[in-house]
Amino acid sequence: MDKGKRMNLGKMKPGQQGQIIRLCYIDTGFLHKLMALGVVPGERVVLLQTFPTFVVRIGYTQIAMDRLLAESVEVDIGG
Amino acid sequence: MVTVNYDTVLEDAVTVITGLLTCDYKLSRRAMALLLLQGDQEATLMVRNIEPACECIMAGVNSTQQKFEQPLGYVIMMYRQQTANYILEQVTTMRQRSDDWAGYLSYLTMWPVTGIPILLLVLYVGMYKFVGQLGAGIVVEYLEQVTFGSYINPYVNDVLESCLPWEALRLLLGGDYGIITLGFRYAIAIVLPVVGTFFIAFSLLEDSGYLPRLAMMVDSIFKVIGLNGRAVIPITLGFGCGTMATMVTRTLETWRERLIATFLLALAIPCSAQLGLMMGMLSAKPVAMTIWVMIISGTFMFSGFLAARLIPGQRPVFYMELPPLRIPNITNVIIKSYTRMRWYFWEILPLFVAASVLIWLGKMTGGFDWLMRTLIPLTTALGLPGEATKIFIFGFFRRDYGAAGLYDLIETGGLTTAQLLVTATVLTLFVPCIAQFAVMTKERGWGIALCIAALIFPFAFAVGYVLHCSLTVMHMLL
Repeated sequence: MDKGKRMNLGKMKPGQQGQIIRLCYIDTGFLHKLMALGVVPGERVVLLQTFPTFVVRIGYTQIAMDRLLAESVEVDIGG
Repeated sequence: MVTVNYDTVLEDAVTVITGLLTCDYKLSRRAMALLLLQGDQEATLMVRNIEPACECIMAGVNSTQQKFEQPLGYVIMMYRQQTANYILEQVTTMRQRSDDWAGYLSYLTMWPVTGIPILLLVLYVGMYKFVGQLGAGIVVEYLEQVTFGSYINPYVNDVLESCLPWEALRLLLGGDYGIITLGFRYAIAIVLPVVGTFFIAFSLLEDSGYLPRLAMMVDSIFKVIGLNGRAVIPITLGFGCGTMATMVTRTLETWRERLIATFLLALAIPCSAQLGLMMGMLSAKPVAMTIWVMIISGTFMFSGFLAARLIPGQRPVFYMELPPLRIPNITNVIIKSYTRMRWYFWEILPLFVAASVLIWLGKMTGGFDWLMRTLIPLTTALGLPGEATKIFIFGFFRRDYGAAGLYDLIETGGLTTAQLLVTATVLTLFVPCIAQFAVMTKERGWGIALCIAALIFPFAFAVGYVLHCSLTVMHMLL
C-alpha cells in the first residue's frame, strides 16, 4: 500500500480527513474506551473542529476528545 | 455464528490456554482464553483462584504478549474490527447524509462563537428563569403562603388545640417547629417545587442531547480544576441536589476526579433549594447578589485549582460521544422527572420529619438552647444576630432547611443586607447537609468524608469573617 503523509490528529486542521493508522496512547484503559467509541485503525476520520475541544467524525459518529487524546491518534492524510 | 480468525501466534496461544482450562465458566473456553489474553481483570482473578494450572496459563499469556509490540487487547480488537467491517460491507450501503436543521444547530452549539452564548442562554432560561423565578419564586410563594400559610397550618393548629390536651405533643406536630407545620411545609412547599423544576429542566437537556455539548464547551475550564468536561454532569446535577450529584460522581474515570468533584460539590455548589432561595432573597439587592456569586464561583475555581495541584494522580482525559441533537420526547421527560422527584421526595421527607423531631427534642430538653448559646459567639463574630445561629444549626440537618430558615428570618425583617450577604455566603459554603454527608461517607469512605467536613467548616466561617470585616471596613451599605 502506498503510504501517504502521516500526522497525529492534534496537528491536523479542521476539515482535513484521513485514515487512522494507530493509537499511541500508553494507558490501555483509555485505549479500550476510544476503540469502543469506534476510534480504531483503518477507519476514516474527519476533523471537524479543534477548539474548545477536538471533534471528529468517524462513520456516523461524532466524538469529542481533548488534545492529549487527539495527539495519540496517528492518521494517514494521503499524498 | 461468526468466528473471528486471528493470526497463527494468537490462535496457537488460544489452543494452548483452552487445553489448560479445566473448570466451567458459563462461557466457552475459547472466549475465556481470549479474555485472559486481553488482560481482563475479572477473568484473570477467577482463573488464578480456581485453576490448578494457573501458573502455566499466565505464563502462556505473558509469552504471547512478548511476541507483540502492542497490548494484546489492542491486537485482538483490531481483528474483531476487521471482521465487523467485513460483515458491514456485505450487508449495508452508506449514503452521505445531508445536513439537516439538527446538524446545523448542533454545529452552532459546538462552535465557540455561538456555543458560549447558547450555553449562557440555556443556563439563564433553564436555571434562572425556570427554576429560580418560576419554581423558587412563584410556585414556592403560592404553596408556602397560601396553601400552608392560610389553610393547612392554621387548620392543623386549630385541630391540635381542640383535640390534644398535651402541650408537648401539640408542639411536636404543630406550632413553629412541628412535623406538619415545619417538616412537611419545608419539604412540600419550599423544596419540592425548586427541585421539581430543576429535574424537569435537567431531563429536557438530557433528552435533547445537549449535555455532551455542554461538557465539551467547558472541558478546558474544568481541566484547570483537575476535572474534565465529563464532570459537568455531576456538577450541574449538584445545582439540583448535592446528595444525588455525589452519587453520580462514580461515573467519573479516576479516583482523583471523584475526590475533587465530591469536595467541590460539598463546598461550593449550592443545591437548587438553596440556590432558589438565595436568588429569591438576593435578587432585590443586585450588588449583594453579585458579591455572593463572585465569592462562590471564586471559591469554586480557587479550591479546585488548589485541589488539582495538591492531590496526586493521573491527569484527567476527556472524550465523549456527541449524539445527534433531537427534540426531547415529552413522555421521556415526564417519566424521568417524575421518577427523580418521587425518589427525592421519599428520601427527604423522613429527614425533614427527623429534623423536626430533633429540634423538638432539643427544645424540650434544653439541648438546643445550649447548642445555640455555644455557637452564638461564632455568629456574633460574623456580625450576625443570635437568631442566625438557628439557621446554621438547621443548615446541618439539611442545607435547604437552613436556607428556608433564613427565608423566615428575612420575612420578619431580622437582617440587614450586609448580614444577609454574610449569612448566605457562609450557609452556601458550609458543611453539606446530613444526607449529602451520608452519601459522601458511603462513596468515598469515612476518612475522606470527615477530612472534607473538617476542611470546609472552618473555611466557610473564615470566608464569612473576612467578608464581614471587609464589609465593615468599607462601610458598605448595600
